[in-house]
Amino acid sequence: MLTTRRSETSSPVILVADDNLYSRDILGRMLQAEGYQVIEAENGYQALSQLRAHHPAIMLLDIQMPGLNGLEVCQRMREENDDTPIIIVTAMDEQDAVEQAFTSGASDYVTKPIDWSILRHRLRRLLLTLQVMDDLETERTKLNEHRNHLKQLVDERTAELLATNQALQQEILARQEAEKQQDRLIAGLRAVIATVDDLMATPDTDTLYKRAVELAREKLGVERCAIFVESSEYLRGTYGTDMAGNTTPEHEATVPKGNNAAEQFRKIGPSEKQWLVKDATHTYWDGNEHRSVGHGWTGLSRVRSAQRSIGVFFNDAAISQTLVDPLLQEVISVYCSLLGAVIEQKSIEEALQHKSAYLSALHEATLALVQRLDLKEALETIIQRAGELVGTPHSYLEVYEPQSHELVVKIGLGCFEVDSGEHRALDEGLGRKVWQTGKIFSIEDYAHWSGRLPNPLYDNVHAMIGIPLYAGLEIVGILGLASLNSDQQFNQSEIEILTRFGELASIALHNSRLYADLQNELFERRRAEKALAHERDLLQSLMDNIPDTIYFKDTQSRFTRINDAQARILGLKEPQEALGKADFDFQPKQLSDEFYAEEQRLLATGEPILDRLEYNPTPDGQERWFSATKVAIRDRLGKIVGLVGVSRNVTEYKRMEATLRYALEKQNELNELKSRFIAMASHEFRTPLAIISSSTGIIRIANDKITIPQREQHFAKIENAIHQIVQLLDDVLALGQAEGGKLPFNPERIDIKAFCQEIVDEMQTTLSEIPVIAFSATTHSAPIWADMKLMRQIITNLISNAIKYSPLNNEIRVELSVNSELVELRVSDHGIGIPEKDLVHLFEPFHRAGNVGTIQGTGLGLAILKKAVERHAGTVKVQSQTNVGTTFIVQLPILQETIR
Amino acid sequence: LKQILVIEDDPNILDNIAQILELYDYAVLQASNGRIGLSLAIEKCPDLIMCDIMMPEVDGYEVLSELRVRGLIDVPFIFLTARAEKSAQLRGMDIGADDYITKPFTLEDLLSVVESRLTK
Repeated sequence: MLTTRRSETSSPVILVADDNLYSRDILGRMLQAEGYQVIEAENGYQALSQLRAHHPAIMLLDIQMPGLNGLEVCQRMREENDDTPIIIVTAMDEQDAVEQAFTSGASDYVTKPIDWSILRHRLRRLLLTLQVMDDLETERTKLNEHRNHLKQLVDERTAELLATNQALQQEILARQEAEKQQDRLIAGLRAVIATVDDLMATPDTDTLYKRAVELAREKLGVERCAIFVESSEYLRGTYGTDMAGNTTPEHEATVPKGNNAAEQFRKIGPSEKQWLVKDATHTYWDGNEHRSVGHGWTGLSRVRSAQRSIGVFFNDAAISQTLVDPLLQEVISVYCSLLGAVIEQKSIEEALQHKSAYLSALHEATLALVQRLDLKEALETIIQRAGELVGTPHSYLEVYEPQSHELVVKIGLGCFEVDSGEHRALDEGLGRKVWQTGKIFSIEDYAHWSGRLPNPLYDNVHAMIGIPLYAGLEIVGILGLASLNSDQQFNQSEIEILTRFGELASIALHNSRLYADLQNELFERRRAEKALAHERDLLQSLMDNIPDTIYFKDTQSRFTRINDAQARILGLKEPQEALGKADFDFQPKQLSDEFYAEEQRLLATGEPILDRLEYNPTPDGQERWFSATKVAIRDRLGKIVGLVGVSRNVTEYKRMEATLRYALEKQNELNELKSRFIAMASHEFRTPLAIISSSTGIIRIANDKITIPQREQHFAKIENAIHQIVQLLDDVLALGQAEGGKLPFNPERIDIKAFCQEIVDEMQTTLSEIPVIAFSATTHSAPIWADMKLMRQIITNLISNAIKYSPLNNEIRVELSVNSELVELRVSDHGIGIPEKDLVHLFEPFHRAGNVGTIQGTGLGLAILKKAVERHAGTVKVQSQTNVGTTFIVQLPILQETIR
Repeated sequence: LKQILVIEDDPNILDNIAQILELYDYAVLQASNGRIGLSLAIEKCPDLIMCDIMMPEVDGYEVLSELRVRGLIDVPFIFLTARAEKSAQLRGMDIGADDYITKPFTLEDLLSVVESRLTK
């Protein structure tokens, strides 16, 4: 209702309730002119309905109205809780009515006739009041709302605090309880941990289970418990607790499949550790069976290692007939894990011990074989150790005798000791089975076996096993083991162990047969090795001591072994330094190339290199020769695997040979010279002799037929021939002397110029005709040391030759020049000259130029001349041209008197 | 009259041989060296040729070879030699000489060899 009056969008609505139309109209107009909206009511009822319909802001109410008057309207409004402000419009004389109106709830009044300014003022004031009141009302409402909200907040917080307080109280209680539980748990776990050493200290698994049961009771506070281990078919008992709380062995107790407890156990999922059966039957083992003692809770805890489930731990409180403590079950769960770990550890240790025992036994037995002990000893060791491993001292070994086709007990141990040396047929007892099948044969209860040997000795034998011993595919014996203990059977792993030892025994038997052969072979081998070592020593000492170089090379021409001599050739201190290296590493490349090429050829063809002469100068360039022999080395299959070379330093031989050859050549030359000389001499003698012979023949036969002058001519021929022979003899003699080094040499001081002049003059006078010999000398007087006789021979020979071979009698020049060192004599002619091909042989005995024609001569003159010149340590040279002339040049050193 | 060609470089020996042969009624052709001897042999075709071995320029062996090449095969050819070694004589026989006379020779030696060759 208030809200309509506070309308802000439109001007305030004013209800004018007046029965007088005129008044209404005036009022309406005035109010509209003031900006108010006006609604009208012509009586009290209408005013009330207008109020209800339009909720005007202010009502101008005329008191005097028919029907329901203004006061009554006020009263009605009061009744209806309508608090619309009312301004009473009244006449001046209606003071009482005004009071009544105020009492009835009017807010103000105006008197008729209406003073518009008063009304306007009052309207405004009323509207303002209304506005303020309205605002106040709004504020109050807001305040109320806020207060209510605050109150609500306070209520809520209070409730919350109360709840929290309560929760805290509960939590403290729970925590106290939990701590108590935890303390108990910790105590329990401590107790579990305290059992570790105790459990670990147990010597074997069985004791471990017993101890585990005891410790559970003593340390953990379990009332009654038992441990069952898993097997493929059932749970098998170990130890439990009787109703007096004592530990009892329950090895005979089994929980077969299908049993309630077993099934319950099986229901424990692999991830679950524990199960609590609330209505289990409590039993105890009286040694024969489980006896029921009631119902109650039974705890089942899995005993497991990391890998596998081992068994189950049962516990209950059957003695006190109480419930098991759940917290204790927690502890037991941990205890079972620990127990599992310990069992695992134990079984690993036991397996290791067993393995170790097996290995050491195997090792010992193998060692017995390796050490080649006496066969009996070895076999004994083997079967004894095998027996120990499978826990029985009763064993034997039978060996097959091919001659008698029987088995002979070689070794018997334990209850079989008395059987040693016994012979057994192949068709009886355990041996028969093994022999027939060729396989391991195992009997659970030998004493009651139908195939047993009847000997009462075997009445106590229970488990028995026979293992065939093989050599190749043939059975050579049987290894047998027996147990007198009714509990013992040979399990699979034991059979495997026994198989191994059977193999060892087979080897021992086999070895014993080979042993003799081996001994022989060893003896032979030692002998061969000794011989080889001897050979090696021989080779080594040969290599070390021989001056020849020896080297071995592989197929790549790399040294594999060399001796000291070769090392020295290569410039090495130690022969080892050459190993793996090749000639290229030490020798000049060209030489190494040659060696490599010839060696590769040798390695490819296998053709040896024998006594090949190699020039291999020393590092400082000295001449050095080797005689090398290289031969391929082949392996047993004939394949070439390398080469061996031997080189001998033959430099000395080579030098000697050269000297010898030179000497021989000289000798041959001399011999040839001599024989040629003799042949020539003979020829030269024969010619004049032929003349003498033929001329004398003519004179003798035809003396009467020839004329006197003819006869005189023949005598002259004979005389000339004789003269020729004499000349020849003289020359040959002179040459012979010269060749033999026996030319007389008596130097004396002569004036060479005067000497030459004298000879020239002499020869000049003997010549009946020209030519003229022209002598010239560069010096006035030239005294030299020379042999006068030889000098005369030289000068005479040269001049007479010049004359002899100058048929046209041209002038002959003789020139002498002397200086401080040399005497030079030149004799030149313009004669027939000497052909070029004859010049080289000119000074050889009996050599005469091709163009001499009938000019007489022995062919010895120049040879003698040369010797005479050489006797003076001089030289003779010739320059010549046929048909032009010849010049001989003799040079002699000036000899000192001392030379003589 | 049998005609004999004598080839000899020593004029004294040539003269003596010629004298001896003429004394015994042979016609003698004289040649003082091998070259002249060859041309005379071809020109005159003598009944017998007597030839020295050691001669300058063309020696006796060459004369004989040349004659054989030129077809004068039937003419008896006798070597005169101052070389007494058998090897020299055999060489002469090898290349086709019929006989040889060793210097120095007697008049009888010369005649008997000539006669025996001519009668064959």
